[in-house]
Amino acid sequence: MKKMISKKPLDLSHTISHVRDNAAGGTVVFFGTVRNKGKKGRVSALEYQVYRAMAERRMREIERVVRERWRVRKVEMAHREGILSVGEVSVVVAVSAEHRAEAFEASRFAIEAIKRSLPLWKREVGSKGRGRWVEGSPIE
Amino acid sequence: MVAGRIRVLYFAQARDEVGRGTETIGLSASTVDGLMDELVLVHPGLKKVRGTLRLALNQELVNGDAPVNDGDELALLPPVAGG
Repeated sequence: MKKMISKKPLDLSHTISHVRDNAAGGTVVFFGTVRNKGKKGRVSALEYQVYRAMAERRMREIERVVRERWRVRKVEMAHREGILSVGEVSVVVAVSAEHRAEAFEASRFAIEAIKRSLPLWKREVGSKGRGRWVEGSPIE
Repeated sequence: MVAGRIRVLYFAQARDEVGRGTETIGLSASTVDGLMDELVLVHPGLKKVRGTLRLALNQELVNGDAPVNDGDELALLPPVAGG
């Protein structure tokens, strides 16, 4: 089974090679990175906590829905766990499809679903050490 | 009466309040709400966050009236912020 939650850095070239498909005419790769600014000033890192088993289960469910709604060739999703420095890739979604419209729509759906429905939390780590958990929304 | 054992998983603010990520407890409640009442007695800090939590039983979101059984896994999920 694919490892969707990773303690190691996400390798984008690896992701792209996984969604390459000769029947695809368009591929969209979205990746999120750790920003240096939070609500209360500078951030040097983010700590991600993950309910791994449930998160991976839900990512498989997101992929299932994507495949049901759009004609896509390949889908890859991964999310980091642990402490990430500014600039590091925290999440990646890649979708290849015959045509770009499907790839854009499906990847947008997937990243929004990841944001709303994965059991994942992050807190800012600044110069004063660990901060508060980033305010989130009830999991859907 | 203890009718089994439940594995409880704490995340984010709930983990901070309890001071650990997971524990196994004896089960005497019959529903998720009953179990939460017991957990709040053991970990009073959970009172602060209880109202913000969603609960997952065996990795599926459930309401408080869901029945709990021996061997179940209950997870306390504060509002999420991934990405």
